[in-house]
Amino acid sequence: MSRPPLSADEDSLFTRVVRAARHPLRALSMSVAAFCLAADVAMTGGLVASVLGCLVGIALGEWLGRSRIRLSALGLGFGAVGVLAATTAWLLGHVEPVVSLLGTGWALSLASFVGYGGLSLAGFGAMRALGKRRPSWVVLEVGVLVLSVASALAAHRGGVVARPLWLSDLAWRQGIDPADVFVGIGLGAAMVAISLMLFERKGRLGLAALPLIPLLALLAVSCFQFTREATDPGDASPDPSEETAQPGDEQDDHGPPGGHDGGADDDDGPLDGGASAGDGGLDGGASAGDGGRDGGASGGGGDGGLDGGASGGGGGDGGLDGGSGGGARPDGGSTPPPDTRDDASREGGAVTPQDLRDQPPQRGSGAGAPVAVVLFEADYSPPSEGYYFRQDAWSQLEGRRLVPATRPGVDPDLLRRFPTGRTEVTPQPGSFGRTGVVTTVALTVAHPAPFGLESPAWFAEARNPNPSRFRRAYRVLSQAQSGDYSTLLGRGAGAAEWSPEVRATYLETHPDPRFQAFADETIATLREPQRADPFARAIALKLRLDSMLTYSTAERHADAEDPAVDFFFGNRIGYCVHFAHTAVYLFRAAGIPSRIGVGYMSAESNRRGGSALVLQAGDAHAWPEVYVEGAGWIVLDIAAARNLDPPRPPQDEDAQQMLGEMAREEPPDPEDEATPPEDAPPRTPLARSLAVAFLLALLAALAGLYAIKAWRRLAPFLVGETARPRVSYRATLDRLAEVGMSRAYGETREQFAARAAALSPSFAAATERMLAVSLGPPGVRGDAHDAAAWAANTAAVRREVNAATPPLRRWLGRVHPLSFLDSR
Amino acid sequence: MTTHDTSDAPQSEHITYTPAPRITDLESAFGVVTRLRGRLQRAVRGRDDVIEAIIIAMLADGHVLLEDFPGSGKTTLAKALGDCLIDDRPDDDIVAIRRIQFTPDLLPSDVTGTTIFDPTTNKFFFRPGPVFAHIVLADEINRTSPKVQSALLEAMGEKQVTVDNRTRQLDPLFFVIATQNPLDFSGTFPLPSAQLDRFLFKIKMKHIARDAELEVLASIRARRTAPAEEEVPRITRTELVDSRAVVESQIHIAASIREALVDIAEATRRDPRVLQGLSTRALVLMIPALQSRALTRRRNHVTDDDVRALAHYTFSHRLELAPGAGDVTTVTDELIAGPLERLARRAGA
Repeated sequence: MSRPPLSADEDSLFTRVVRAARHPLRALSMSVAAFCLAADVAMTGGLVASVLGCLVGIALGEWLGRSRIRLSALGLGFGAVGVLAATTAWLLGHVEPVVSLLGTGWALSLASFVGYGGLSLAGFGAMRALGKRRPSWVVLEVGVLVLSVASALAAHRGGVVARPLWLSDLAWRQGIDPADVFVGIGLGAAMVAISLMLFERKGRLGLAALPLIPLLALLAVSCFQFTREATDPGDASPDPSEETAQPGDEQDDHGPPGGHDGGADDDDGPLDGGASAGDGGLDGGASAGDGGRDGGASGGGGDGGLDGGASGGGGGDGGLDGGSGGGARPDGGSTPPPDTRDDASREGGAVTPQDLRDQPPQRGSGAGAPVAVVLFEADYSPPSEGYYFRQDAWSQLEGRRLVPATRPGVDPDLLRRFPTGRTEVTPQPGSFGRTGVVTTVALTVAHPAPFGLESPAWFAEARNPNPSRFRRAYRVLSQAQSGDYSTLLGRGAGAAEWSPEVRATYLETHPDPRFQAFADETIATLREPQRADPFARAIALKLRLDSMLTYSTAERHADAEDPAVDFFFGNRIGYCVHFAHTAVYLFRAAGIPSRIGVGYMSAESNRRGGSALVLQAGDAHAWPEVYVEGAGWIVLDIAAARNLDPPRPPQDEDAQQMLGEMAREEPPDPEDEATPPEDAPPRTPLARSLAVAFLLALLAALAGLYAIKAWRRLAPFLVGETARPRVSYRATLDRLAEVGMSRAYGETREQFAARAAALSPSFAAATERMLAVSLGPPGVRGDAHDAAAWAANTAAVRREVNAATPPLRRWLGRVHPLSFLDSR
Repeated sequence: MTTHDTSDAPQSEHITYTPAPRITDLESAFGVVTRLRGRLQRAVRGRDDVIEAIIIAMLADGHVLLEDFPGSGKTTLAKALGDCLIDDRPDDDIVAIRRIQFTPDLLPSDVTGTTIFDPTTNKFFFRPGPVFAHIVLADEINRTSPKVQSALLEAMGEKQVTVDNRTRQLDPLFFVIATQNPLDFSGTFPLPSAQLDRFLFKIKMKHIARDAELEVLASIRARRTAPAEEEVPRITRTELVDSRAVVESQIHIAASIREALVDIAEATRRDPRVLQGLSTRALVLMIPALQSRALTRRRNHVTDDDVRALAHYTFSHRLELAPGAGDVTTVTDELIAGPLERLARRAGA
């Protein structure tokens, strides 16, 4: 008796090993999947529980799958287990007596153990039972395994150089994120493996496998989305275009805390959370505001920046008065408020409420981070040589400082929500000495409210040109100041339509009489005709302040009970918020309606002649404004004579250009104003194009499949005599397969015909005829090739099938794109 | 030839023998099958599958080993088969049917025949044994010694017996139905696999269906008293031998079927559960069997269904499974499924 050949022996050993190791292997790999799935969300207890639950679930699913319980009952049972576990976990963590009985730590651990364990058990058990009953659904397990492990790997890759290097380098050169390439490769491999399983199975692909196709597609797409999101934020995935945006992201992180501090400290409820508290960025701005503008001043961070550069040179003449006053003074940095929120400031810094609230504007590394890109649609040069972007205003005296107004009718020109569609700002600022400038603002950092070049007339939503870089975009029409400051002389103060309450709000000054005395003293120096002119008085006050103040973000007057008083009647060293408060108190003492504008300020020179201007975190600023009748709110910023902060580094021109181009990608047009806000989760273009390609491929595959189906059905009428029996028989088989009658593996065609006789007795004749052709003696031609006979037979089969099956079943079979795979 | 008559079948003497037309085409061969089947099915109820297999084996010139238990109707079947057959060559010494009950003390000469001295003529003459018959029922073949088994098996393989160094031919229509009891093994001499190979089919009989059993009980008296011989005509030995020739020459067996057979054989040789796969002789014997089945289905060509239907009868006693490999039926099913599936897909849609 001959031994089987050696190769067969090895095969058998291998086969035996694989067969024996099947269950342990499955348990191992699925528990890895469970681990990967839970790793991101669960603590140790939950992890252990999910792995244990997975193991138990697999054993249970395998066992139940072999039992005679209906599959639907099994599914319901596993679902019930999952719900029960989730509910129990919730109860353990939320019901007071239980928590107190167990102790918080124990309750939490137990809840996570029960929750993750139960869910894992239910999920993996249900999958196993399903796979046991319907073998093609094993691909679900494979898919979960592959995708969970792949996504975990992808998520952990952050900061690690992608390997193999040659591939990632290649991707780099093509401008593709290697992460996408790797995920794509993984997905492709998974899909190939899954499809191989689908088609290589011994049995057949029944109708039961049909729902798998969209399910797999869903898995694939969702996995892609998931890994994209997991890798995106701040990971090191080296995306060239990220260089610019990334700082923004970081900044983003900083922003909110800053904002909150500000908001939180102020107890000024009125201030309303929305306005101050919320505005991470801005109120960064508030305090920060000065930062920016006073840029130079900030003691620590070098970047007083912006203007540091601009004016810092000394000559800069506070832009402000530039026009009117003639050479103002070389203040270092046109405006620099001293604050910043670098570490130093933070430690030192406690910004007390009664201080000018907030911290100084950002300084240090964060100051250069872009927060927004402004695209000018027209060339516009402000007379103050600085662009002021107002987000909010502090008009109302609350204790010892100014806060956003809550009284009705005050500051109606502010928009504290983002616009949907076009939102007019009321009232229109006066038209005197103003020109319309349309700008598009693209925010790289979340802001609580829109800001616009002063003074905005309307805001309109705009399409986000690049969702992965910008949070949102909008357009603004500003009635920007165009007239020289000298033209504002000789006009009244305040608007005629103001109610007495509103006017009183804008004129309510600090109770300290020294402000009044200082104002009076200054006004007294004016010559007679100008003494009565409100704007001339304001200019006089501003110029005097310019000459006597010193900018530094290091000096915060944070400990003083009243920072403004401490600042002005103390060392007179401070930053923009101090300046603005002092100026407004003095203006109001001089009878000029005024308020503090809060937002960003950037020197005109930063634009460098381009149409794009990048606003940086350090540009946040606060400035005094006065209301001139007919001209509206006029920015009258203080340019301190001396700046103690080091100058900020110059604006990064390349970054500005790049961001500008990015923001310009989709030219704004009026129709965009109606498009909804871009709150949808950002999707990268690659992901979108992949999704589209996937859909197209799916559609093409479907079209191809239906074409094959149609051809197989029509071929009997089109082919010649030789092929007719074969294709006719095939068409008949297709018809039977559509209603679920198909030959089993290993079943002979005659057996099948006998089985199908219940459905269609005429099919036996077709089988016989076809077999006579394919297996019978050659050269003998009966009616086997006769077209009429075949047509009659096909018609008979159709009639019988139609009579024996419900219409829904036939319809389903006709729709099934793969039904012909069952016919053989 | 001596006139010594070993047969107790006197019917051949008073039948007026008119030679039937020779069988030369498939239709008339199918008529032979129909007559044979009709008579057998009247005599034995509920055994249609076995009857079919026996007819196929007869047409394929093979022998059958029935594995069953006492009282299952195998003698009835064999006798009915003998009744169907008209010995249209009464002048030879060969009778229609013989039955040998094998026992441990049987001698080879009891099977083949022996030479006897005739004192009246002072000569030895040969007295033919029971194998000199058209149909031989070898009952409980595993009860006798290997020596006797070999004698019978030689006769089966060669269609000849050798007594006293003289070889005598058996009739071309020499058909053996052997039986053995699958359960009662004590004091038996199981047939070695080489000898099992002499049987074309090994048929495991199962208990007949309930309805058939009821019918047997109901009709037992009627069948005993009035054997229904006349309604269905019998067949002659010549008709059967002619049918064999027709089957061999006129039923087409496609190349793809032969390939499937070879594939099956290879599958059995490669499978680790099978110690000994199918021999080439098994395939050679299979061909006429397939053709015969095609005839019983009134086809002029062999289909894969024939292969599937006969695979168990033909292959299961030729495969030797490794210990623990399981049931030979299951293994055979698995091994033929692949080649048959390939065949169905290639030739079909």
